[in-house]
Amino acid sequence: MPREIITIQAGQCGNQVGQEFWKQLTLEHGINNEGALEDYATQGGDRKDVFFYQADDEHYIPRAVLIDLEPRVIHGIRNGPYRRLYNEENIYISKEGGGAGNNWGSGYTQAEQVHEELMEVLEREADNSDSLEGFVLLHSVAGGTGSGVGSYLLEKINDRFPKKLVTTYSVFPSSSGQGSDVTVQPYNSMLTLKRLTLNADAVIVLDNTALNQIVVDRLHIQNPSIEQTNSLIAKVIAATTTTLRYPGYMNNDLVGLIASLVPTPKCHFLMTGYTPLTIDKANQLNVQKTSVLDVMRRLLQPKNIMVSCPTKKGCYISILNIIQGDVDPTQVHKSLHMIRKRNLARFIPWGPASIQVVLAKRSPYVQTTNRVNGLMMANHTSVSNLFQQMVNDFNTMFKKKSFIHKFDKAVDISEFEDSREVVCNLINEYKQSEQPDYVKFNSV
Amino acid sequence: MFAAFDHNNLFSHYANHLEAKNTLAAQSVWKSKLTTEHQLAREVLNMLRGVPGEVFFMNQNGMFERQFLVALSQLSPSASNNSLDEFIQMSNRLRLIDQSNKTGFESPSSVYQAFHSSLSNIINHYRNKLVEFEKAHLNSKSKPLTLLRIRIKMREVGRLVNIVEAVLDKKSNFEKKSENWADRVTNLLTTLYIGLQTSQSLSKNHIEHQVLWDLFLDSMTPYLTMIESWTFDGELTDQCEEFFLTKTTSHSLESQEYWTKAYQLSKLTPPFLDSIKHQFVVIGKSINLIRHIERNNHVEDEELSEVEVIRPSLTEAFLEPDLVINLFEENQFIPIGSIKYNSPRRFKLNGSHSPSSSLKLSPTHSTSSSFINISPTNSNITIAVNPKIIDRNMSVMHQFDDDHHRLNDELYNLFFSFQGNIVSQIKTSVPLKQRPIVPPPTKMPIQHYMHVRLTKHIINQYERVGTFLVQLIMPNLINDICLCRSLYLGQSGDVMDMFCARAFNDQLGADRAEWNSMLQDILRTAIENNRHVELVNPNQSDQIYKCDPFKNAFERMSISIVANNNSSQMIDSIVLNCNVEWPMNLILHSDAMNTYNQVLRYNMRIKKARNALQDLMTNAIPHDLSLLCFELYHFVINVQKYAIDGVLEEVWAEFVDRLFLVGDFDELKLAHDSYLNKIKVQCLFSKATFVKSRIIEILDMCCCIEPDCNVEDVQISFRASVRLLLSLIKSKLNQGMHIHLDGLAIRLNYNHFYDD
Repeated sequence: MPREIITIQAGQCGNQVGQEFWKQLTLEHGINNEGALEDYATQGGDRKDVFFYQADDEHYIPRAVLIDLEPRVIHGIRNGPYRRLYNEENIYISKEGGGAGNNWGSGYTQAEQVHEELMEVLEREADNSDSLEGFVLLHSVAGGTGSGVGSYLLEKINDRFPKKLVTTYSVFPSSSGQGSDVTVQPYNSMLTLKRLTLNADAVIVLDNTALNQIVVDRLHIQNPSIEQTNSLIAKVIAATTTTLRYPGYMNNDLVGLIASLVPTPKCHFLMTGYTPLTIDKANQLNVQKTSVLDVMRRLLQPKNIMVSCPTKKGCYISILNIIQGDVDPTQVHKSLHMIRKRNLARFIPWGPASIQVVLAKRSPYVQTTNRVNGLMMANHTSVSNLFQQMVNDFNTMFKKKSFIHKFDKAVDISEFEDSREVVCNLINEYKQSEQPDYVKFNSV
Repeated sequence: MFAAFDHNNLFSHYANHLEAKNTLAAQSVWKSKLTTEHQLAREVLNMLRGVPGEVFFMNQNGMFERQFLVALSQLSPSASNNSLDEFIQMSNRLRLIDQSNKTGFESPSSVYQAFHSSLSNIINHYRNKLVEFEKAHLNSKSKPLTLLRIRIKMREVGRLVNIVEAVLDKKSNFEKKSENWADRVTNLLTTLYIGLQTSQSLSKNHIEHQVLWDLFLDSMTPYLTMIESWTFDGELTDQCEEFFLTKTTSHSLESQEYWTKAYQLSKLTPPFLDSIKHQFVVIGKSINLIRHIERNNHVEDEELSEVEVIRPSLTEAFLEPDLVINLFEENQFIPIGSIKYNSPRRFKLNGSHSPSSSLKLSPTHSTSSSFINISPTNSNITIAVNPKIIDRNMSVMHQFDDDHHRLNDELYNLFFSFQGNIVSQIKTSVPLKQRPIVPPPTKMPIQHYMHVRLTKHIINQYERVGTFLVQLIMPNLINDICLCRSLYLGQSGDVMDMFCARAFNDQLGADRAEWNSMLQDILRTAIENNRHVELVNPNQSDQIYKCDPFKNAFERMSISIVANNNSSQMIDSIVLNCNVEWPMNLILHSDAMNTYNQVLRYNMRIKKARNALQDLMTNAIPHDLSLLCFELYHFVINVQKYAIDGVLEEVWAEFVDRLFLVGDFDELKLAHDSYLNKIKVQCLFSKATFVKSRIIEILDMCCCIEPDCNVEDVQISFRASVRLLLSLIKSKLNQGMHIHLDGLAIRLNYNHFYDD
């Protein structure tokens, strides 16, 4: 019955986001930082076993695998308030502890070297599940470990667990590498993007540019901390898994979610939007009026979308709105009707498309000031702009072969070219999907 | 001297007295047929009282006739004889009334008996008044007894005779039309009641109003006993079937038919009960259900007998004009009758929050006795308890104090702690207005009198009993309804997804054992996942019902396969059986379960199509087939979404709102029936079935897609089918029919892709 999901956190970003994600999940399920169920958490109605399992003493342990090539972040977790939450056996830190040096090649190679160790952890976790549905990878595509180890794991999971779904929450770098100290970021991103295209079933794109903009512009935090940004990401990730954790009529499994959003195997890069956006109580001073229509309308606004793409251009292939809170079901139809009438969303011309609305339960243990909140998962053709930018950045560097030597030992030149080709095909497919004759598109 | 004689023999004594004196006057009376007016007047009065005399004799038929002509010195012969004829006529009419009235004493109907007895009393009353009249004028020199005076007095008697004759005329008319005692009695009471309504507006018609009132009041007495017995005991004490409510056949309390068929209203209802007849029927049935629930939950008789209460007496309330009665009213202590209590105690359904977060029937102490107390603080019911009274009435409503606290707890545990429990307090009573002072009946409009003295009490009892029964079964009912919603309607999507996936993947045939084994596996896993459902009263947010619908599902659910071995049609032959306990099965009856099964099969069809497409889409398939699958998947999930958000969720929200407003079991049943009926209509099971057939066809098409199919052909066929479906819906919408289908049309064609 429970369609278990194993979460893999790779690299600094992956583990930091993961830490916030588990914080959010434990909060929503009424589990304390040591995995014990809080006394007040008696209302049930949730499915904790999708993301947790119970130890012999019945405390909850996340189905999480924590991987990093340098110890700093994981040591922070081990010394933090959630240190007893995780299964120690599932934490892997490279013995060398030197990290991947922000190099995809280094990360990939190091992962290859400890292949058996990593796969053993994953297999143990998979065996620990009754009906494993898939894996969720939390990582960034710009760094070394998240991108390199993440890419390696994507390939290997595909080989080892071909029937299992792989979803990633991938943090994309700020456009043009603004503020980034990773010189080889375009290479890392390109090489990772290839794996994300070919080896993942769905990729939830979390664009650092958009995230920063949301925190600064929407939440009015001028110098956001990493924790603040990550808590926003964690909230979104938790919201995307709501229907898996609180069973309802539909969308109780990953496959159901993905099938309605992804038309072809490669067009699986999804944007997310969330409203109302809040991080902590200080930001809840301006409480908005929320109704189903308000929330659905706001979700379509680019400023609430966590990818910096011009959604006014291009078209939506599919939209799934998860609405939580005090919802009158009759409002759903009215809102759909209103959005259609006002033509607020432009859809593909080659097939039917609509806004799927899921009314999901909200955790009774998390107090919110808003009556309704909503998450949008959308497949929009303009996501290709983000990839195009990455290709451009890649081309700029690759033309000069700048810093290519850093990858000498791990990656052939042809691999770079191959990755670029895969990504260009992806961009092309997204462009084609805006055309009525997309059915005739010949994907490579 | 008259005082020494019997009234009926007054005249003969007087005549003997005259004869003994041998006076001239006496001679003139008896011999020459000439008489004095005084003598004649006395004989007339005798005749009116039904006693024959010298002038007026009684013939063989028992009617008065004049024996000879009478001459009065001061009147012409014709005038005096005409006057006497009038007296004779009046006497005969009275006599006829009396005679026919006496036959009514043998009627099997207690109401009829009471009516005739009352009429007899009225006639005697008026005859006695004639005696008083005679006494008053006999020795009066200023106002001697004259025929003229009698004639004036006769107006009153004449009015009485007219009224009674009119009533008897109507009575005989409806007796001819109906042999049914219930109808006859209802007609009689209706005649009197309407007569009262009419006469109360005629200010000078006091006699008419009084006569009708007396007849009505007396006739109502046995009727009130029947009303009271039904209202407070749930029993029909109607031996000759004269009540407007009859027990049809002996349906068991636990049978489906009990609530709907065990008791039947006659076609005619007394007008003062007409507006509350359905509530009236509900009261007794509810009491019987409550008692049966008690018995089923092993509440011992001995214990129950200690919980006796003084029940309000409707008869007293109705008949005693000076008795201040408002038995269920709040804010004051109201004495009823002169009952003495050995152990004065009061108990109430406490309205305050209990620390255990559960319904607490807690006692309170009182220093006074003989009261029915309605607590001024929380508008709850508090009723005086007399432990000696054996006749138990609604024991569970009236709880007893610390001596019997244990039983309180037991009752609570038995009724409220099955799968679910009530978290907050339930307030049972109904707030009432300040009681008016009841004036004498003749000064109060009869409609108002009936309301104050009768129907108000019945309505109060209805509200108490109805609400109590509803609250009693609500936790278990909600649990069962939530189970049905979870499984049949697919609200527990994860469980039903697993059920369908196993059914489709394992290729289960018609082997019932296989299906049941699979179902048990899934339910076992579902039970392991602790899933509570919370239902909050939208009108009272602190009233929360919690339940775990899967808790006992394992033992209750089974599957039948209705004789169909064809695996492609297997879904149509699946019936999911749920063993619903009494009395919940009166609401979740077989028709309701059929509807639930219809939705289940419809859901299974959708899930089958969805699973088939998901299987294809997760494999490596050509680009065009991917897009075709995506398009088909869009159709399938939108059909499902329409069924869920557009129908099931919307109708559920309406149902929950209504559920917490129901006042009795009937309304509860109606609310659930209406809920399912809306689902049936909007999911197209009962209407617009052509639309549903189209949908099923397309769903079947989705199930048949193979990786090597001709994508273009399938696509053309699919799109044509969808367009046809949309045009069918559009045409119906244009005709203003099946407006709910607008939601489906919008979802399927949200981006206008299927527009021509």
